[in-house]
Amino acid sequence: MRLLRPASVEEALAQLQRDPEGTLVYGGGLEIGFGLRRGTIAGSALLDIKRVPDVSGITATAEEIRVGPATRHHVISTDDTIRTYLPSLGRACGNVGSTRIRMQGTLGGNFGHGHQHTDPGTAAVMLGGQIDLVGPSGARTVPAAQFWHGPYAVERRPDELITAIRFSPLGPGWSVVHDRVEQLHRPPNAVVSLAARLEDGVLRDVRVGAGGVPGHPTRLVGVEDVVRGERLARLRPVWGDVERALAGEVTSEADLLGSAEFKLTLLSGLIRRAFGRLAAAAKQETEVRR
Amino acid sequence: MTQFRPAIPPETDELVEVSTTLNGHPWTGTVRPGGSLLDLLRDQLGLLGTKRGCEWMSCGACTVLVDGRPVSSCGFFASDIDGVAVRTVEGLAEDGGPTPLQEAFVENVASQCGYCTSGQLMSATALLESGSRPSEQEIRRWMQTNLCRCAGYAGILAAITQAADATYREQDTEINE
Repeated sequence: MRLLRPASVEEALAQLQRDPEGTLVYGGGLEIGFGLRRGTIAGSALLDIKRVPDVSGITATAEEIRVGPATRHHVISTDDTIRTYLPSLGRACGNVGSTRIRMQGTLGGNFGHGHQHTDPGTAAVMLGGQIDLVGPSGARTVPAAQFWHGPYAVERRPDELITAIRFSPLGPGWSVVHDRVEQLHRPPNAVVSLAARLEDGVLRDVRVGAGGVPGHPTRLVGVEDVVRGERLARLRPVWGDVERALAGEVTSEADLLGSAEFKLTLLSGLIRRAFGRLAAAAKQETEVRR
Repeated sequence: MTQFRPAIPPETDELVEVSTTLNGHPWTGTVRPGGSLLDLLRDQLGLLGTKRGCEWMSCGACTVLVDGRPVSSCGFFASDIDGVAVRTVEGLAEDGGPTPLQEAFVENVASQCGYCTSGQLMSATALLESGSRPSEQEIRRWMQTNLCRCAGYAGILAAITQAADATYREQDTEINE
């Protein structure tokens, strides 16, 4: 095996083209190192992207926040700009693995690996993130909702690099909840990333992202349609419709984390809990204002 | 799904030269691409204080500091130490003597078999050097996946709390002076 350390995107692409399937691109190297030791991943070369300019760091304009793919989860979760304008992403990155994992693992690595139990991926889908890719045929942008195809299957081709992950902040008036069900040292059973804009207790707009249970992070458009316009404190009458919408847009499969039915029930409960937390926060805010 | 490919035998690896600062001393050497920092420390450099535990990045026994950040050395490429500073448990002692944290571990019986201790010390050192006094909740969250099979957690928590009090009392005193 060789180690490649390109100093530019152009150099990285040139190196990648020599053996796209066998060149293992990494930032933190957690998943690739893990796979190499287990024997589930093999390659001819490791390509360390950390020396490529602009792959790390968070930059912001009035319209957009850009996160470099080699930015570590700890950096994202503790960044003031992220905490203020993209709190869901910050909380999601703060949930990844352990302290040590967050100190080494990167957002681009998390996305590129295609793990279905991805907190940041779930938040990215809910937020409508955009993932920039570059390859021999040029640059392209893929909406987060289309980046994941299934477990460990993503839109990035072997001869492409992730160059940026971009988000438009939701703006004023939005409240967010990011929640999960997990067992220690296992991937989260279910992840929910929720954002809502309330007016006089009514859900004027809402976004729901789900991970862990579906085969890939998924925006629950059907669930959103059911609850939009409803009073946040009175969702019980429509919860049957929510569960029917959920069953229609989430395909759950039995695995070591549970049966398909159990996982869907778990996800429904987690979504309900997320709305409950939103309601509790809204009530608290109202009382503070009084 | 990643396709399985036959592994390339290690003897065909192109070794990589790395230069680092290891426990405050410059070190230059060659490492194998894909090799772990844990293997380098224990097998190549003879620094046995860092322990081999799960090799799954879960248990924390192999925790070392890279530029002050706690990482699982079993999951950290040795080639990635190029240009950074690495600190192991052997590098904690100041002027040959134990740190306040190490003393607190002894005083609070925070070590039983001792196997997790070096990892606990390294993670806790990173927390104490982060710049602000951690709360108990912050200590618990930070240390959550440094596992102890002897269930010495009460002693470990007490030791870190004691060391945090000592560290930040000293800082508070300096500020007030």
